[in-house]
Amino acid sequence: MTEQQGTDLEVQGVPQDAMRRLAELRPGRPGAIFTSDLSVNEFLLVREVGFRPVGLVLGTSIYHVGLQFGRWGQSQELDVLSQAMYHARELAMTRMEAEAQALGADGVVGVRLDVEMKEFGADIAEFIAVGTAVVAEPGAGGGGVTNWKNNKSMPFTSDLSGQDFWTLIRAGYAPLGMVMGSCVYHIAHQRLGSKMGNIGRNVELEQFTQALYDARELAMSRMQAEAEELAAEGIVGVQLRQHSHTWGSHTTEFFAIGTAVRPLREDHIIQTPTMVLSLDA
Amino acid sequence: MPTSEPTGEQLPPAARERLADQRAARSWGSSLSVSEFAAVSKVGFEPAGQVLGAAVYNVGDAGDDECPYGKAVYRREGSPVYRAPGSGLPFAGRPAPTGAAAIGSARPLVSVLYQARRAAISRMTAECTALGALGVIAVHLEVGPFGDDEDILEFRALGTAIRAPGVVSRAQPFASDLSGQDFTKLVAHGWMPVGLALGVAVGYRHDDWLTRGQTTMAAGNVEVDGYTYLVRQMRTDARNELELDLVRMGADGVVVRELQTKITERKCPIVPLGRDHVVEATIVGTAITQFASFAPPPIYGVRKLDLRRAVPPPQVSVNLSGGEEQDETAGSPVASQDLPEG
Repeated sequence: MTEQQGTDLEVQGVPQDAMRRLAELRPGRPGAIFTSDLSVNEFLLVREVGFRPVGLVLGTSIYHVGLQFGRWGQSQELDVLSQAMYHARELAMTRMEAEAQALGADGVVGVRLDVEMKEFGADIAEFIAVGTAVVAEPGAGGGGVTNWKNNKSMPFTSDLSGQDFWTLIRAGYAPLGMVMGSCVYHIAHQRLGSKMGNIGRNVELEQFTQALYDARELAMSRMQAEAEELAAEGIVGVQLRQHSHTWGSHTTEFFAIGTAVRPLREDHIIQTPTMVLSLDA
Repeated sequence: MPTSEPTGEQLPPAARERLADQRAARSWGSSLSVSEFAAVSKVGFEPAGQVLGAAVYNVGDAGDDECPYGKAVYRREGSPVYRAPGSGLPFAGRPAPTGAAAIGSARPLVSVLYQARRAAISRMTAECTALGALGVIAVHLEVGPFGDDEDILEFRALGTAIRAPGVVSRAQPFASDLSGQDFTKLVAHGWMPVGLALGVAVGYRHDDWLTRGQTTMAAGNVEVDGYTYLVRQMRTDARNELELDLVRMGADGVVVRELQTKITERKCPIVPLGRDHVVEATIVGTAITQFASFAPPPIYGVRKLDLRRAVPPPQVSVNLSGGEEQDETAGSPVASQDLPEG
């Protein structure tokens, strides 16, 4: 079993050193420590709903993004770029999940998925996924839940903050996994004629509207398809981001990301909110 | 680990004087916000004074004459695995080192970066000892340039020492980068900071032909293996160092605030016209340990009264003329005062 896991990890591209580190962290042993990048609030809240942090997990991929140009006057998806953004994120996420799996974790909370254009060069982006692997203690989430992993028997992932995670579990839902959709879209430039015609007028630029609509719809439908694959009830905490990266003003990436959830029980009652004066800055 | 831990006696005279004054006057300075102060005093602590530690270091040597690729391929040194027998040309037929073998670790630089931060922190905690305080919270750990020379860096640690009235501790004071609120929450749940845990790793890797090929315009969508490996390895090393620190301190765990990666390029010291990439990964967190496992205070679902949605102030209209509007203004205390006779 462990050998099987070891080879799996190597296939995912997790380095030897990382595996050794994970083996040392393996929870349950006396004297085992945990690492986490949770804030104090999150750490305490995650423990409160019955999860124990076991380790800081991360996945990285540095990716050379290919080249594709949109036609000047045409709105279209740039599928080479879409695929690059998607594939690289997938690589980073899978490596993070593999690390969590090696720790024997039930899930990863507080995941941050970032793209950074680092000093490696113009077309090279770093994709990084960081989160805290957690193990469910008996009776977590009000008890009665035996399996926290998703239908691919991988640890669940969630980009919800510790606070949101607490609220979600308390309300009788469990996260299944982070789902995402990406679409890089080239928006057509205005033709000279229509540009001249619009000077000084208040009009809607229908082709721009249409292009932005299409691109967002594509990204969101891809995200939904991922959620359906996980047999989720719904997606919470969706963020719809736009990045222009280094492609100029008419080529934009639309990126939708959220956490797919499933119900744990029938009733979903949360405590009545109370008014407080927060001391937090 | 720094070789000499500065104690109260070794502090600079100016610092000693300031701390002695502060101690005698029983008044304190602090960089805590009002909310932080309120939170800390809730669990029985009070600020003892602002403390700082600084260390200026020369950090020039990033493994300046090292490059595993250059040594194996160009100079034909190192492990015989990389030496193709019987080939005359310096590059021909020579397999390049890959994976971990291609990455050089800048050990001297790592230990300087670690020691410099440790020195700043231990000077800060020495000030804390001089104040008779228990530990330092809300520590800001900063690295800044010193003058124009980019090799000289100043490492600063700035925080607020706190004490518990009536408690004298012989233990080494702790340092923590948690805010006052976070500190309060930890203490209320039976956890205590042990100290600042650091993980630093610096490594470099030559841009070999494969890497260069993967980064040309024509490469298309492809993962740059070498860079990925380098960054991942350095982050892993940094996490390993962090864990070593935890074990050294005897902590149960760590809450991490900062995970930084700095990437720079340099001229390869061995291969002419070659380029290397240098990655520096830093993790800073507060090591914590559990001192009690009492039932934590309950957590309620709450709605914040924050100022994000501005509520207009209540309109008070006072009508002194009496008459037909009397009914509307009767509820207002100002109006009702003026209207009893009218």
